[in-house]
Amino acid sequence: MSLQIEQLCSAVNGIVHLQDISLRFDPNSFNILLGPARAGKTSLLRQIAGLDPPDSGRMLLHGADITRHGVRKRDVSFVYQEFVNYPTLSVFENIASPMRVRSEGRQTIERTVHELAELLGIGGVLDRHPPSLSGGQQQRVAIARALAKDAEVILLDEPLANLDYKLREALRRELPRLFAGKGKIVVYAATDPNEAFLLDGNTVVIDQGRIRQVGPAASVFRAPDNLSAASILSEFPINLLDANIRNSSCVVGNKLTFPLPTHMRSLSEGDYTLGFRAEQLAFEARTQSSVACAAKVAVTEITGNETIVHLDMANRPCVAVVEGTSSLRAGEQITMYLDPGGLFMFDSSGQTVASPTRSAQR
Amino acid sequence: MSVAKRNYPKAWLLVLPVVLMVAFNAVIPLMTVVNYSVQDTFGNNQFFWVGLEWFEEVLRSGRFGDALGRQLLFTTLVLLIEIPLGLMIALGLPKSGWRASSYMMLLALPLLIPWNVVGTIWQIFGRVDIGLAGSAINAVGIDYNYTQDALDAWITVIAMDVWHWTSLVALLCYSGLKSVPEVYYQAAAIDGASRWAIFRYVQLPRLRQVLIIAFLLRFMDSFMIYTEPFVVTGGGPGNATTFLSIDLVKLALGQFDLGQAAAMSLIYFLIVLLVCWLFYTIMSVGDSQPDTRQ
Repeated sequence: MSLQIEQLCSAVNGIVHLQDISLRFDPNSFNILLGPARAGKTSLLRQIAGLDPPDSGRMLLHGADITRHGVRKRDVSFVYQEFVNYPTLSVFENIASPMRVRSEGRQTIERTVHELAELLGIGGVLDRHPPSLSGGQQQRVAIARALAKDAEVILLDEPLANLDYKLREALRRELPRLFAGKGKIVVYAATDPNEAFLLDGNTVVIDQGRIRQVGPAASVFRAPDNLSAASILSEFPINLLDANIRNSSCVVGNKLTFPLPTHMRSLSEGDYTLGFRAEQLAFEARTQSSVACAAKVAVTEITGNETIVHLDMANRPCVAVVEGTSSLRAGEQITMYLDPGGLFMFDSSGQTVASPTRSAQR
Repeated sequence: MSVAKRNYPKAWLLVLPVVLMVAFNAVIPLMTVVNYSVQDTFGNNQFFWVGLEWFEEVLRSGRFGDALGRQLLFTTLVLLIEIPLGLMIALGLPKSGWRASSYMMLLALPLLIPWNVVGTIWQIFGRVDIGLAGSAINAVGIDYNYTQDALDAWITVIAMDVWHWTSLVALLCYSGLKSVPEVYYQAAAIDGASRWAIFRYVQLPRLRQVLIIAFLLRFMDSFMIYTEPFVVTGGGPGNATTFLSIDLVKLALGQFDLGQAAAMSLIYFLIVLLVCWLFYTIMSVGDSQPDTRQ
């Protein structure tokens, strides 16, 4: 009993939107489609909704083939990034609209609308019209409408993207609770890796129309399968340097050489891409094995309790995040320390060949 | 304070061109008409003050009432046909692609033709001897002659106006429909909304403003129609298609009854103003409520 997508492909005007997508979503699951803009998130949601037919592949809901079912035959509801409600209908009628289409009884509608409005905290505005509400309330109405449809599959396409910071935080905390225990398959598209962590669901990392990795956000973060998953599930861009392994040491450029850490010992000699997250760079050595690297400061950004330092390291742009506020000047030559226990190594095709062991993480 | 005072004469200087323009093309001609409407002359360029006598005469005369009645009927019929027809055309047009632009061009064509040319086209088109429509209708056995039969004349004049102006309504509505974001249609489809529900709850709210504009434009224009029926029927047969402006010209230039014509123009002007204000107030009544924003 689940939604199964098998080898789905889709292209529009020769441009591939989705390539060989195979996924399985279980009832009562909260799934996050995480990827940058144009990754294929919306395309995949549209496929699930039946708005676009696939070029090849199948889609099964509870074992029944629904690939050829149009949007009206699919049992889905959709929440958009824009707040899509009927502007001339009251909030009550907006929430009631999917039930009116199903010709539900008056009492059922009345009760369900009030229940959903209470759940979403919009009980006080049932008589008002959506355009007179705040963005957060409008999106709550749209979510209530999606829940009122009582569809098996609920699709949310970056529903929080157009909300301001505070409303986004509030609604994000509530979302998993709203859908929990209803037996629904929820698919939530997001660009922000923080949403994947905070919503804490099954994360599907998607990039350039392909699935890069599937799993809980924390474990994808810890052990990304490939370069794409590692960089997408990372708040700051992951730092990448060309590296070469020879004689049991790692050589980066012509200045930086360090012995291979334990988790990389099994790698054969050759060219690789060295990856590390912004948090792994520090002003002082954290462990005895920390590697000192020369860097030139490009820009510093202070966010209150953290400083984001943009650096030039081995002729590549790198980002470091350090605690506290630091007063580095642009162009200043500094030494940063890198903990080799937290390094990733990717091969030329972008596959992860070494990722830090759990204990090496901070 | 001193800055504002120093700039004060300069500001007036900047407004002056507009004031002069409006004075010369609106206020002064209107005042001339007012001047004529309250005076009478027996020649020799001598004028006598007659007060509101001309107005009383116009309003008491059956002639004005008849013309006004014909005018109201004409405008009502034209609006009843053009607004729904234009809306339906707009709904049926493709949303994009080369077909959309070619339809757009076809629709814009009648709007580009000058009024008197439209009149001439239909005058010839409807003629029973050489006109394509006129002779074809008679050939299938229907007795049609717009120069002799009042009903035929009305049908011709209305068909002409519909041909000339439905495009305007269609184009206005089409632009309104284009402002509906695609996600609304998707959301409605996912909700399982019917075609009617999509029109009623998704499209119509967005069309409200353009429909008000289309309605007002078509009301004013059809209420002041002159050239086309003048060219086609000349107001006839009899007085069957003598609308207000045709009657006004007959009075002013045909009989040279300037005082009465001036009084009639002012009444005519006030009617247009009043009806426009009424329509606008009624139709935009919901605008103060938040539900039509978005």
